[in-house]
Amino acid sequence: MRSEELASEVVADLLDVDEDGLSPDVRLADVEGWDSVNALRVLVYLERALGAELDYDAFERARTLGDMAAVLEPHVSARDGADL
Amino acid sequence: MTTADRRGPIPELRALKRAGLGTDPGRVRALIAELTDPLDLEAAGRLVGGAKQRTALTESGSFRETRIAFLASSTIDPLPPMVVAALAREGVAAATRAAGFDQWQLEVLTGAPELGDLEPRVVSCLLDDRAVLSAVADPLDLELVERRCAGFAAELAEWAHACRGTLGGTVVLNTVPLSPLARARHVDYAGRARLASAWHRMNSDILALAADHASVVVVDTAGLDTPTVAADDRMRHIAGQAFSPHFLRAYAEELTRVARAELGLARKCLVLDLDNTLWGGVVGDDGVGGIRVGGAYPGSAFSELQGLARDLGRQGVILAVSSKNDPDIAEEAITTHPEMVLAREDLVAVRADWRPKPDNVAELARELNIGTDAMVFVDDNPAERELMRHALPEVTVPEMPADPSGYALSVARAAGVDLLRLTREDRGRADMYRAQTGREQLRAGSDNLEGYLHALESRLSLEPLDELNSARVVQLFAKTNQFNLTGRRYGAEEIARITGRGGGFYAARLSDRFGDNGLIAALALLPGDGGAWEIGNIVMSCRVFSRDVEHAIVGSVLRAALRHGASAVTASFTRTDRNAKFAGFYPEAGFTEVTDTAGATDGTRAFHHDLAQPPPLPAWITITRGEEIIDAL
Repeated sequence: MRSEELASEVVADLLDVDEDGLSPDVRLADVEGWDSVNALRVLVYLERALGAELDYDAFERARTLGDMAAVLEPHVSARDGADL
Repeated sequence: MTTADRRGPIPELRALKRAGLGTDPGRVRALIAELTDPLDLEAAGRLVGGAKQRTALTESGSFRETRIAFLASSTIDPLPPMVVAALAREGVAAATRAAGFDQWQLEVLTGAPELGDLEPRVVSCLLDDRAVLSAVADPLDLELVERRCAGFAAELAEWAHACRGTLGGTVVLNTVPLSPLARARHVDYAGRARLASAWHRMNSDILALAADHASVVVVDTAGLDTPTVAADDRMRHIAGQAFSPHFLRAYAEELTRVARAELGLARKCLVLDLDNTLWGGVVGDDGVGGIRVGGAYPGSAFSELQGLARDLGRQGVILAVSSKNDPDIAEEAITTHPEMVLAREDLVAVRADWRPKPDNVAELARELNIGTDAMVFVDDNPAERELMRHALPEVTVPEMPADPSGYALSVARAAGVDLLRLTREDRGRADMYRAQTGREQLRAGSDNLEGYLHALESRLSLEPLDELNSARVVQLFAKTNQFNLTGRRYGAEEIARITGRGGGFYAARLSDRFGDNGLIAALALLPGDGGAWEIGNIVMSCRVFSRDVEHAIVGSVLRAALRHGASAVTASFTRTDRNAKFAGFYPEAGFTEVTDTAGATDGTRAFHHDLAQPPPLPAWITITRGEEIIDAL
């Protein structure tokens, strides 16, 4: 699964927002319900999905969904590799 | 990929939420039941916990409601949604609210500004070790630590008392886990042991609060089913969390059981399979000698489950068997196998037949007069479990592991028979229900009604109102709707006033060969005109309908009136929306209708018995104390 898909899927599920509106350039601050508590939920959820600890500082700095996906990228690739 | 294309409980719950949770509340419960991860449970709780979703679930008619307040000494954001989800799975819609971070003391001290108007039924106060240790200036000074620990439970008791005053409800406290770092900062084992000793004594004192305060429940966190206790170190620092998601989930499940018990939703009856559930092997194929129970594994695993069932039974859980077997061989195995832990008397019913098990479970529920949602179905066969879930989704069906060694714990965890406090009635309940099924079977086996009534060997005993029975008499007048001949409900004050003016109140107790039915009827006698006695009202519990008990009671009154020289006995029947089937009672008992026109218009019919010929008493009821205990008015 691509990192952008994973990011938008988890944000959509946890904040219960429409996934179709979640393109990589969407600002996280503009996602309905996005706050510090939900940001942490997304972080922990993503870490569980990937089975790896993410770079918290980079995750915190992410402003768009695309930024967030970039934080996931190394782990998503590693997993795809492992799946083969 | 859009949400609708994805599978899994969370996307499906989201879709259901958009369609309206009320459209399929059963599916909501089933989807949540599929969730195994704490984070998913939290996500589900956030999906179904909104005010609108709660309303949709309760308006569907199949959900109960509760309200839960949360206080804590750490960040517990995931906890309320986890509880909401776990309760939704159990058919309860919970409104929740949490006090701010570490506000547990201040919130109560200031009169509960955040939580007060929720009017919670359950108040959860989840404490971590900072609640205790933050007040210790030097964590290495063990004397200070010991003093703090020694006083903490009393402080908590005071807090719980204040909390009960401001918020009300059942307060749920916990034994406080000691975090790894609090131990590890002591370098010597003697110091760590001293710390742990003080800590365990504190937790022991906290546990003792449950015994002293009726509205306090203490969750022993050491007994929670969780692989981890402390939060992930990063989450401790970033978010102020003290507990891991797994710990919070296990605590949420415990709180769910408390909230259910508080609502009176404890399940009442365990229906157990026989082959490969209560014993190993198939008795129909292997014979009574070939089944495995007792001794070494795997027999020991079946004994363990039987032992659990027996102990639940001793605490009032009704036990029954539903098995695909020939009845003779099933009964033979149960009664004769030397390693059986459960005895035949422990089981209210053994349904060994070839009918679909949902039919047996539904019929048992009917006979016991409890809802199917109070039944738990225990069966090793996945196909039987699936059939039950499909046919009767409200029945609790614990998932059973493949290996019997896990049966007992699986059933113990999933049965949902938890009570806040065991009463004497709970302990005696199994006997009462056993008697009830015995009566049903006797009726089914009798070829005529009179034969059945004789075989019941009923004994009726009248008693005057006294201190011991007055609460039950008031309760009978208040609760009885069907056999309630005038609709008059005498309260304690009215009873005192009437007896002060020469009236009399009596109660009736009925027992039979299956046991004691307890106090089942109450009647009010008032001095009437011209030396007559007037029956103010008779009420009788529906448990003893169709046994002519009412005729034995009124017959005794007529005989007593005659004995004391009364001129007549008068009575009346006032139609209510529930008592129509007893409109003909007084004429049947030999009374003549004397309704005047005024009475006819307000629906009250008057009756008169001249006492020339009291009716015969029912031959199948032995009256052990009757007319002779009724005093002159």
